[in-house]
Amino acid sequence: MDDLAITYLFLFILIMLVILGMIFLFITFNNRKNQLLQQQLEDQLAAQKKQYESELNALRSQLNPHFVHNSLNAIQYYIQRNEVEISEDYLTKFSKLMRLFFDYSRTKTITLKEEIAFIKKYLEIEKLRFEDKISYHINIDKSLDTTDLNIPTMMIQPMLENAVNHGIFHKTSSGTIEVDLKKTELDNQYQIIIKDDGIGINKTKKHNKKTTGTATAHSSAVIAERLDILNDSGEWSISYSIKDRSDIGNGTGTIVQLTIQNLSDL
Amino acid sequence: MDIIQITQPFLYGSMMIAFLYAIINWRYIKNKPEKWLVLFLMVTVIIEIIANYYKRIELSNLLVFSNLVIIITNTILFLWFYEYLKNKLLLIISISLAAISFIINSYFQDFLYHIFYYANFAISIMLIVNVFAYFNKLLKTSDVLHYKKIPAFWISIGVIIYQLNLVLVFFLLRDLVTLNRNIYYTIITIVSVLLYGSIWYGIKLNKING
Repeated sequence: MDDLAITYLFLFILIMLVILGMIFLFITFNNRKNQLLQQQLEDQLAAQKKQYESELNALRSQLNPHFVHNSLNAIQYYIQRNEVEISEDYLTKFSKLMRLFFDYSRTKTITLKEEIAFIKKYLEIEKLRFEDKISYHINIDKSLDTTDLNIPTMMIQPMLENAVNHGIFHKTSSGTIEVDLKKTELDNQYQIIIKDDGIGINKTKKHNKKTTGTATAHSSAVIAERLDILNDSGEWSISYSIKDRSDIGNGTGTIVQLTIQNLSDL
Repeated sequence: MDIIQITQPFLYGSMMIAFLYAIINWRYIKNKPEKWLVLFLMVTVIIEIIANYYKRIELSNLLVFSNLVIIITNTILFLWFYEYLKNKLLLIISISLAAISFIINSYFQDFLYHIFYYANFAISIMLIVNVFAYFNKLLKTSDVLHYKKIPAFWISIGVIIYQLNLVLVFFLLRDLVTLNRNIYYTIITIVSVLLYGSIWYGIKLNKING
Protein backbone atom coordinates (compact mmCIF):
# COMPACT_ATOMS: atom_id res chain seq x y z
CA MET A 1 0.00 0.00 0.00
CA ASP A 2 1.62 3.28 -1.09
CA ASP A 3 1.61 6.51 0.92
CA LEU A 4 -1.15 8.08 -1.13
CA ALA A 5 -3.45 5.12 -0.51
CA ILE A 6 -2.73 5.32 3.23
CA THR A 7 -3.41 9.05 3.15
CA TYR A 8 -6.77 8.51 1.46
CA LEU A 9 -7.60 5.76 3.93
CA PHE A 10 -6.82 8.05 6.87
CA LEU A 11 -8.85 10.82 5.32
CA PHE A 12 -11.77 8.49 4.74
CA ILE A 13 -11.58 7.41 8.38
CA LEU A 14 -11.39 11.06 9.45
CA ILE A 15 -14.44 12.03 7.41
CA MET A 16 -16.36 9.06 8.81
CA LEU A 17 -15.32 10.03 12.33
CA VAL A 18 -16.53 13.60 11.82
CA ILE A 19 -19.84 12.40 10.37
CA LEU A 20 -20.34 9.85 13.16
CA GLY A 21 -19.34 12.47 15.74
CA MET A 22 -21.96 14.85 14.37
CA ILE A 23 -24.62 12.11 14.34
CA PHE A 24 -23.73 11.25 17.95
CA LEU A 25 -23.90 14.95 18.91
CA PHE A 26 -27.35 15.43 17.38
CA ILE A 27 -28.64 12.17 18.88
CA THR A 28 -27.39 13.28 22.32
CA PHE A 29 -29.05 16.68 22.01
CA ASN A 30 -32.28 15.19 20.66
CA ASN A 31 -32.43 12.62 23.46
CA ARG A 32 -31.87 15.30 26.06
CA LYS A 33 -34.50 17.47 24.42
CA ASN A 34 -37.03 14.62 24.46
CA GLN A 35 -36.11 13.82 28.05
CA LEU A 36 -36.75 17.44 29.08
CA LEU A 37 -39.98 17.59 27.11
CA GLN A 38 -41.20 14.43 28.82
CA GLN A 39 -40.16 15.83 32.20
CA GLN A 40 -42.02 19.06 31.47
CA LEU A 41 -45.12 17.10 30.45
CA GLU A 42 -44.93 14.99 33.58
CA ASP A 43 -44.56 18.13 35.73
CA GLN A 44 -47.52 19.70 33.97
CA LEU A 45 -49.55 16.55 34.47
CA ALA A 46 -48.60 16.38 38.15
CA ALA A 47 -49.52 20.05 38.64
CA GLN A 48 -52.82 19.49 36.88
CA LYS A 49 -53.50 16.44 39.02
CA LYS A 50 -52.67 18.41 42.14
CA GLN A 51 -55.02 21.16 41.03
CA TYR A 52 -57.74 18.61 40.31
CA GLU A 53 -57.29 17.07 43.72
CA SER A 54 -57.48 20.40 45.50
CA GLU A 55 -60.56 21.32 43.49
CA LEU A 56 -62.13 17.98 44.34
CA ASN A 57 -61.28 18.47 47.99
CA ALA A 58 -62.95 21.85 47.92
CA LEU A 59 -66.01 20.43 46.18
CA ARG A 60 -66.21 17.46 48.54
CA SER A 61 -66.16 19.84 51.48
CA GLN A 62 -69.20 21.74 50.29
CA LEU A 63 -71.72 20.33 52.73
CA ASN A 64 -74.76 22.47 52.36
CA PRO A 65 -74.75 25.01 55.24
CA HIS A 66 -78.55 24.91 55.14
CA PHE A 67 -78.43 21.25 56.16
CA VAL A 68 -76.28 21.99 59.22
CA HIS A 69 -78.40 25.00 60.11
CA ASN A 70 -81.70 23.09 59.68
CA SER A 71 -80.45 20.09 61.64
CA LEU A 72 -79.31 22.25 64.55
CA ASN A 73 -82.60 24.14 64.45
CA ALA A 74 -84.49 20.84 64.55
CA ILE A 75 -82.45 19.64 67.53
CA GLN A 76 -83.14 22.95 69.25
CA TYR A 77 -86.84 22.51 68.48
CA TYR A 78 -86.90 19.05 70.12
CA ILE A 79 -84.97 20.35 73.14
CA GLN A 80 -87.42 23.23 73.53
CA ARG A 81 -90.28 20.73 73.37
CA ASN A 82 -88.48 18.79 76.08
CA GLU A 83 -88.29 15.68 73.93
CA VAL A 84 -84.98 14.62 75.38
CA GLU A 85 -84.79 11.18 73.82
CA ILE A 86 -85.47 12.37 70.31
CA SER A 87 -83.10 15.32 70.65
CA GLU A 88 -80.37 13.05 72.06
CA ASP A 89 -80.88 10.55 69.25
CA TYR A 90 -80.85 13.38 66.71
CA LEU A 91 -77.69 14.90 68.19
CA THR A 92 -75.91 11.52 68.24
CA LYS A 93 -76.81 10.82 64.62
CA PHE A 94 -75.87 14.33 63.60
CA SER A 95 -72.47 14.19 65.32
CA LYS A 96 -71.77 10.77 63.77
CA LEU A 97 -72.63 12.11 60.35
CA MET A 98 -70.42 15.15 60.87
CA ARG A 99 -67.55 12.95 61.93
CA LEU A 100 -67.96 10.79 58.86
CA PHE A 101 -68.26 13.90 56.73
CA PHE A 102 -64.95 15.29 57.99
CA ASP A 103 -63.28 11.88 57.65
CA TYR A 104 -64.49 11.39 54.09
CA SER A 105 -63.64 14.97 53.08
CA ARG A 106 -59.99 13.96 53.25
CA THR A 107 -60.48 10.77 51.23
CA LYS A 108 -60.73 10.48 47.48
CA THR A 109 -62.70 7.27 47.39
CA ILE A 110 -64.61 5.04 49.76
CA THR A 111 -66.27 1.68 49.31
CA LEU A 112 -69.84 1.54 48.16
CA LYS A 113 -70.70 0.00 51.51
CA GLU A 114 -69.32 3.05 53.36
CA GLU A 115 -71.15 5.42 51.04
CA ILE A 116 -74.43 3.55 51.64
CA ALA A 117 -73.89 3.73 55.41
CA PHE A 118 -73.19 7.46 55.06
CA ILE A 119 -76.38 8.16 53.09
CA LYS A 120 -78.41 6.07 55.51
CA LYS A 121 -77.20 8.27 58.37
CA TYR A 122 -77.97 11.36 56.35
CA LEU A 123 -81.48 10.18 55.47
CA GLU A 124 -82.13 9.20 59.09
CA ILE A 125 -81.40 12.76 60.17
CA GLU A 126 -83.61 14.17 57.41
CA LYS A 127 -86.34 11.76 58.55
CA LEU A 128 -86.07 13.13 62.07
CA ARG A 129 -86.14 16.71 60.79
CA PHE A 130 -89.23 16.08 58.70
CA GLU A 131 -90.87 14.11 61.49
CA ASP A 132 -91.33 10.98 59.40
CA LYS A 133 -92.75 12.92 56.46
CA ILE A 134 -89.97 11.19 54.54
CA SER A 135 -89.43 7.51 54.02
CA TYR A 136 -86.64 5.91 52.07
CA HIS A 137 -85.65 2.60 50.57
CA ILE A 138 -82.20 1.56 49.53
CA ASN A 139 -82.25 -1.42 47.18
CA ILE A 140 -78.94 -3.10 46.52
CA ASP A 141 -78.45 -5.56 43.70
CA LYS A 142 -77.36 -8.86 45.23
CA SER A 143 -74.68 -9.35 42.64
CA LEU A 144 -73.13 -6.00 43.60
CA ASP A 145 -70.07 -6.41 45.82
CA THR A 146 -70.34 -3.24 47.90
CA THR A 147 -67.21 -3.99 49.89
CA ASP A 148 -65.09 -4.34 46.78
CA LEU A 149 -66.46 -1.55 44.62
CA ASN A 150 -65.36 2.03 45.20
CA ILE A 151 -67.10 5.34 44.70
CA PRO A 152 -65.84 8.94 44.81
CA THR A 153 -66.49 10.13 48.36
CA MET A 154 -69.92 11.61 49.07
CA MET A 155 -71.18 11.29 45.55
CA ILE A 156 -74.80 10.42 46.37
CA GLN A 157 -75.45 12.66 49.37
CA PRO A 158 -75.73 16.00 47.46
CA MET A 159 -78.24 14.38 45.10
CA LEU A 160 -80.30 13.11 48.01
CA GLU A 161 -80.14 16.57 49.54
CA ASN A 162 -81.62 17.98 46.32
CA ALA A 163 -84.36 15.35 46.39
CA VAL A 164 -85.22 16.22 50.01
CA ASN A 165 -84.99 19.99 49.90
CA HIS A 166 -86.30 20.68 46.41
CA GLY A 167 -88.51 17.68 45.72
CA ILE A 168 -90.19 16.43 48.86
CA PHE A 169 -89.94 19.63 50.93
CA HIS A 170 -92.46 21.40 48.66
CA LYS A 171 -94.83 18.47 48.66
CA THR A 172 -97.86 18.67 50.92
CA SER A 173 -98.11 14.93 51.63
CA SER A 174 -95.31 12.61 52.74
CA GLY A 175 -92.64 11.60 50.27
CA THR A 176 -90.47 8.63 49.46
CA ILE A 177 -86.93 8.42 48.21
CA GLU A 178 -85.74 5.28 46.51
CA VAL A 179 -82.12 4.51 45.90
CA ASP A 180 -81.36 1.59 43.58
CA LEU A 181 -77.86 0.27 43.15
CA LYS A 182 -77.39 -2.09 40.25
CA LYS A 183 -74.52 -3.87 38.66
CA THR A 184 -73.99 -3.46 34.92
CA GLU A 185 -72.43 -5.86 32.45
CA LEU A 186 -69.13 -3.96 32.34
CA ASP A 187 -66.32 -4.58 34.79
CA ASN A 188 -66.13 -2.18 37.74
CA GLN A 189 -69.30 -0.45 36.59
CA TYR A 190 -72.56 0.05 38.43
CA GLN A 191 -75.61 2.23 38.27
CA ILE A 192 -77.23 4.36 40.96
CA ILE A 193 -80.79 5.54 40.49
CA ILE A 194 -82.24 8.08 42.90
CA LYS A 195 -85.94 8.45 42.55
CA ASP A 196 -88.19 10.73 44.59
CA ASP A 197 -91.91 11.39 44.38
CA GLY A 198 -91.61 15.09 45.10
CA ILE A 199 -92.80 17.96 42.96
CA GLY A 200 -90.30 17.20 40.21
CA ILE A 201 -87.47 19.24 38.72
CA ASN A 202 -89.73 21.24 36.36
CA LYS A 203 -91.86 22.60 39.19
CA THR A 204 -88.80 23.16 41.34
CA LYS A 205 -87.28 25.35 38.60
CA LYS A 206 -90.51 27.34 38.33
CA HIS A 207 -90.65 27.67 42.10
CA ASN A 208 -87.04 28.84 42.20
CA LYS A 209 -87.74 31.49 39.58
CA LYS A 210 -90.58 32.87 41.70
CA THR A 211 -88.59 32.83 44.90
CA THR A 212 -85.25 33.78 43.25
CA GLY A 213 -83.84 30.60 44.83
CA THR A 214 -80.43 29.58 43.51
CA ALA A 215 -79.64 26.69 45.85
CA THR A 216 -80.64 23.92 43.39
CA ALA A 217 -78.80 25.57 40.53
CA HIS A 218 -75.72 25.96 42.72
CA SER A 219 -75.72 22.39 44.02
CA SER A 220 -76.33 21.04 40.49
CA ALA A 221 -73.42 23.13 39.23
CA VAL A 222 -71.20 21.77 42.01
CA ILE A 223 -72.22 18.19 41.11
CA ALA A 224 -71.61 18.79 37.38
CA GLU A 225 -68.23 20.43 38.06
CA ARG A 226 -67.14 17.57 40.28
CA LEU A 227 -68.21 15.00 37.72
CA ASP A 228 -66.28 16.86 34.99
CA ILE A 229 -63.12 16.84 37.09
CA LEU A 230 -63.53 13.14 37.93
CA ASN A 231 -64.04 12.25 34.26
CA ASP A 232 -61.06 14.41 33.21
CA SER A 233 -58.84 12.67 35.76
CA GLY A 234 -59.02 9.48 33.68
CA GLU A 235 -59.67 7.47 36.84
CA TRP A 236 -63.44 7.50 36.53
CA SER A 237 -66.04 7.33 33.83
CA ILE A 238 -69.27 8.77 35.19
CA SER A 239 -72.42 9.61 33.25
CA TYR A 240 -75.17 11.59 34.92
CA SER A 241 -78.72 12.40 33.94
CA ILE A 242 -81.57 14.12 35.74
CA LYS A 243 -85.16 13.94 34.53
CA ASP A 244 -88.58 14.94 35.68
CA ARG A 245 -90.55 11.72 36.06
CA SER A 246 -93.63 13.30 34.48
CA ASP A 247 -91.63 13.87 31.28
CA ILE A 248 -91.03 10.15 30.89
CA GLY A 249 -94.48 9.07 32.02
CA ASN A 250 -93.26 7.65 35.31
CA GLY A 251 -95.42 9.42 37.90
CA THR A 252 -94.24 12.59 39.61
CA GLY A 253 -90.93 13.57 41.06
CA THR A 254 -87.35 13.48 39.86
CA ILE A 255 -85.16 10.64 38.72
CA VAL A 256 -81.39 10.89 38.79
CA GLN A 257 -79.32 8.25 37.09
CA LEU A 258 -75.60 7.80 37.65
CA THR A 259 -73.47 5.23 35.86
CA ILE A 260 -70.09 4.92 37.51
CA GLN A 261 -67.07 2.99 36.30
CA ASN A 262 -63.78 2.93 38.16
CA LEU A 263 -61.13 2.95 35.43
CA SER A 264 -58.11 2.95 37.72
CA ASP A 265 -58.78 -0.63 38.87
CA LEU A 266 -59.23 -2.02 35.36
CA MET B 1 -4.50 24.50 -12.75
CA ASP B 2 -2.99 24.31 -9.24
CA ILE B 3 -5.27 23.04 -6.43
CA ILE B 4 -4.52 26.24 -4.46
CA GLN B 5 -5.93 28.31 -7.32
CA ILE B 6 -9.15 26.28 -7.09
CA THR B 7 -9.52 26.18 -3.30
CA GLN B 8 -8.48 29.74 -2.42
CA PRO B 9 -11.52 31.50 -3.94
CA PHE B 10 -13.76 29.25 -1.81
CA LEU B 11 -11.70 29.86 1.32
CA TYR B 12 -11.41 33.66 0.96
CA GLY B 13 -14.90 33.89 -0.53
CA SER B 14 -16.54 32.22 2.47
CA MET B 15 -14.43 34.37 4.81
CA MET B 16 -15.44 37.61 3.05
CA ILE B 17 -19.12 36.62 2.85
CA ALA B 18 -19.20 35.88 6.59
CA PHE B 19 -17.38 39.14 7.39
CA LEU B 20 -19.65 41.31 5.19
CA TYR B 21 -22.76 39.54 6.51
CA ALA B 22 -21.60 40.19 10.08
CA ILE B 23 -21.03 43.91 9.35
CA ILE B 24 -24.38 44.30 7.58
CA ASN B 25 -26.15 42.66 10.53
CA TRP B 26 -24.08 44.36 13.22
CA ARG B 27 -27.21 45.87 14.83
CA TYR B 28 -28.50 42.38 15.62
CA ILE B 29 -25.31 41.17 17.27
CA LYS B 30 -23.75 44.25 18.85
CA ASN B 31 -25.25 43.41 22.25
CA LYS B 32 -24.68 39.66 21.96
CA PRO B 33 -21.61 37.43 22.39
CA GLU B 34 -21.41 37.14 18.60
CA LYS B 35 -20.03 40.70 18.52
CA TRP B 36 -16.65 39.05 19.22
CA LEU B 37 -16.97 37.13 15.96
CA VAL B 38 -17.04 40.38 13.97
CA LEU B 39 -13.67 41.17 15.51
CA PHE B 40 -12.55 37.59 14.79
CA LEU B 41 -13.47 37.93 11.12
CA MET B 42 -12.06 41.46 10.85
CA VAL B 43 -8.69 40.40 12.26
CA THR B 44 -8.62 37.36 9.96
CA VAL B 45 -9.48 39.41 6.86
CA ILE B 46 -6.96 42.20 7.59
CA ILE B 47 -4.11 39.81 8.38
CA GLU B 48 -4.89 37.69 5.30
CA ILE B 49 -4.83 40.83 3.10
CA ILE B 50 -1.43 41.86 4.53
CA ALA B 51 -0.12 38.28 4.27
CA ASN B 52 -1.21 38.04 0.64
CA TYR B 53 0.36 41.42 -0.11
CA TYR B 54 3.71 40.27 1.29
CA LYS B 55 3.46 36.90 -0.39
CA ARG B 56 2.38 38.06 -3.84
CA ILE B 57 3.78 41.60 -4.19
CA GLU B 58 6.86 41.53 -1.99
CA LEU B 59 7.42 37.80 -2.69
CA SER B 60 8.29 37.40 0.97
CA ASN B 61 8.34 34.03 2.73
CA LEU B 62 7.22 35.53 6.07
CA LEU B 63 4.91 33.20 8.02
CA VAL B 64 4.42 35.54 10.98
CA PHE B 65 0.90 36.32 9.74
CA SER B 66 -0.22 32.74 10.29
CA ASN B 67 1.10 32.92 13.86
CA LEU B 68 -0.66 36.25 14.43
CA VAL B 69 -3.94 34.84 13.13
CA ILE B 70 -3.58 31.81 15.40
CA ILE B 71 -2.90 33.76 18.61
CA ILE B 72 -5.29 36.69 18.06
CA THR B 73 -8.31 34.96 16.54
CA ASN B 74 -8.22 32.05 18.96
CA THR B 75 -7.97 34.43 21.93
CA ILE B 76 -11.09 36.13 20.56
CA LEU B 77 -12.78 32.73 20.36
CA PHE B 78 -11.87 32.06 24.00
CA LEU B 79 -13.55 35.37 24.91
CA TRP B 80 -16.62 34.44 22.85
CA PHE B 81 -16.88 31.12 24.69
CA TYR B 82 -16.47 32.93 28.02
CA GLU B 83 -19.60 34.98 27.25
CA TYR B 84 -21.59 31.74 27.24
CA LEU B 85 -19.73 29.70 29.82
CA LYS B 86 -19.02 32.50 32.33
CA ASN B 87 -16.16 30.37 33.56
CA LYS B 88 -13.25 32.66 34.46
CA LEU B 89 -10.98 29.76 35.38
CA LEU B 90 -11.38 28.15 31.97
CA LEU B 91 -10.76 31.50 30.24
CA ILE B 92 -7.60 32.15 32.27
CA ILE B 93 -6.29 28.61 31.69
CA SER B 94 -7.09 28.78 27.96
CA ILE B 95 -5.39 32.15 27.37
CA SER B 96 -2.46 31.34 29.68
CA LEU B 97 -1.85 28.03 27.94
CA ALA B 98 -1.99 29.76 24.54
CA ALA B 99 0.53 32.38 25.69
CA ILE B 100 2.83 29.86 27.38
CA SER B 101 2.77 27.51 24.38
CA PHE B 102 3.70 30.43 22.11
CA ILE B 103 6.59 31.43 24.38
CA ILE B 104 7.89 27.83 24.57
CA ASN B 105 7.46 27.39 20.82
CA SER B 106 9.45 30.55 20.16
CA TYR B 107 12.52 28.84 21.72
CA PHE B 108 12.43 26.15 19.07
CA GLN B 109 11.10 28.01 16.01
CA ASP B 110 11.42 31.45 14.47
CA PHE B 111 8.24 33.45 15.01
CA LEU B 112 8.70 35.28 11.71
CA TYR B 113 9.41 32.40 9.37
CA HIS B 114 7.79 29.31 10.91
CA ILE B 115 4.23 28.39 11.77
CA PHE B 116 4.02 27.54 15.48
CA TYR B 117 2.51 24.09 15.09
CA TYR B 118 2.90 23.04 18.71
CA ALA B 119 1.35 26.22 20.07
CA ASN B 120 -1.47 25.88 17.56
CA PHE B 121 -1.95 22.28 18.70
CA ALA B 122 -2.25 23.34 22.36
CA ILE B 123 -4.68 26.12 21.46
CA SER B 124 -6.79 23.73 19.37
CA ILE B 125 -7.04 21.34 22.31
CA MET B 126 -8.16 24.19 24.59
CA LEU B 127 -10.76 25.28 22.05
CA ILE B 128 -12.09 21.72 21.85
CA VAL B 129 -12.31 21.70 25.67
CA ASN B 130 -14.25 24.99 25.50
CA VAL B 131 -16.63 23.53 22.90
CA PHE B 132 -17.29 20.46 25.04
CA ALA B 133 -17.77 22.64 28.12
CA TYR B 134 -20.31 24.68 26.17
CA PHE B 135 -22.16 21.59 24.89
CA ASN B 136 -22.19 20.18 28.40
CA LYS B 137 -23.63 23.41 29.80
CA LEU B 138 -26.24 23.57 27.05
CA LEU B 139 -27.32 19.99 27.73
CA LYS B 140 -27.93 20.85 31.38
CA THR B 141 -30.21 23.82 30.70
CA SER B 142 -33.72 24.04 29.28
CA ASP B 143 -32.24 25.87 26.26
CA VAL B 144 -31.59 22.41 24.83
CA LEU B 145 -35.30 22.31 23.96
CA HIS B 146 -34.61 24.69 21.07
CA TYR B 147 -30.91 23.98 20.52
CA LYS B 148 -31.22 24.15 16.73
CA LYS B 149 -32.15 27.83 17.04
CA ILE B 150 -29.15 28.71 19.20
CA PRO B 151 -26.38 30.51 17.25
CA ALA B 152 -23.61 29.33 19.58
CA PHE B 153 -24.56 25.68 18.99
CA TRP B 154 -23.89 25.91 15.24
CA ILE B 155 -20.81 28.10 15.63
CA SER B 156 -19.43 25.59 18.14
CA ILE B 157 -19.98 22.81 15.60
CA GLY B 158 -17.98 24.82 13.04
CA VAL B 159 -15.23 25.43 15.61
CA ILE B 160 -15.01 21.79 16.68
CA ILE B 161 -14.88 20.44 13.13
CA TYR B 162 -12.16 22.98 12.26
CA GLN B 163 -10.10 22.34 15.38
CA LEU B 164 -10.49 18.53 15.28
CA ASN B 165 -9.20 18.54 11.72
CA LEU B 166 -6.30 20.74 12.74
CA VAL B 167 -5.41 18.40 15.57
CA LEU B 168 -5.81 15.17 13.61
CA VAL B 169 -4.71 16.13 10.11
CA PHE B 170 -2.13 18.84 10.57
CA PHE B 171 -0.53 17.73 13.79
CA LEU B 172 -0.99 13.98 14.18
CA LEU B 173 -0.95 13.02 10.49
CA ARG B 174 1.09 16.00 9.25
CA ASP B 175 3.87 14.04 7.62
CA LEU B 176 1.41 11.85 5.82
CA VAL B 177 -0.81 14.64 4.58
CA THR B 178 1.94 17.01 3.46
CA LEU B 179 3.02 14.32 1.05
CA ASN B 180 0.05 15.36 -1.00
CA ARG B 181 -0.54 19.13 -1.17
CA ASN B 182 -3.86 18.65 -2.93
CA ILE B 183 -5.31 16.82 0.06
CA TYR B 184 -3.79 19.38 2.46
CA TYR B 185 -5.42 22.37 0.73
CA THR B 186 -8.70 20.59 0.11
CA ILE B 187 -9.09 19.80 3.80
CA ILE B 188 -8.15 23.28 4.97
CA THR B 189 -10.62 24.79 2.50
CA ILE B 190 -13.48 22.48 3.47
CA VAL B 191 -13.08 23.02 7.23
CA SER B 192 -12.59 26.77 6.77
CA VAL B 193 -15.74 27.03 4.65
CA LEU B 194 -17.60 25.05 7.35
CA LEU B 195 -16.27 27.37 10.08
CA TYR B 196 -17.17 30.59 8.24
CA GLY B 197 -20.46 29.02 7.15
CA SER B 198 -21.34 28.22 10.77
CA ILE B 199 -20.50 31.80 11.81
CA TRP B 200 -22.66 33.13 8.97
CA TYR B 201 -25.53 30.84 10.06
CA GLY B 202 -25.08 31.84 13.71
CA ILE B 203 -25.40 35.52 12.79
CA LYS B 204 -28.42 34.70 10.64
CA LEU B 205 -30.07 32.98 13.61
CA ASN B 206 -29.38 36.08 15.72
CA LYS B 207 -31.12 38.13 13.07
CA ILE B 208 -34.10 35.71 12.99
CA ASN B 209 -34.32 35.52 16.79
CA GLY B 210 -34.18 39.34 16.89
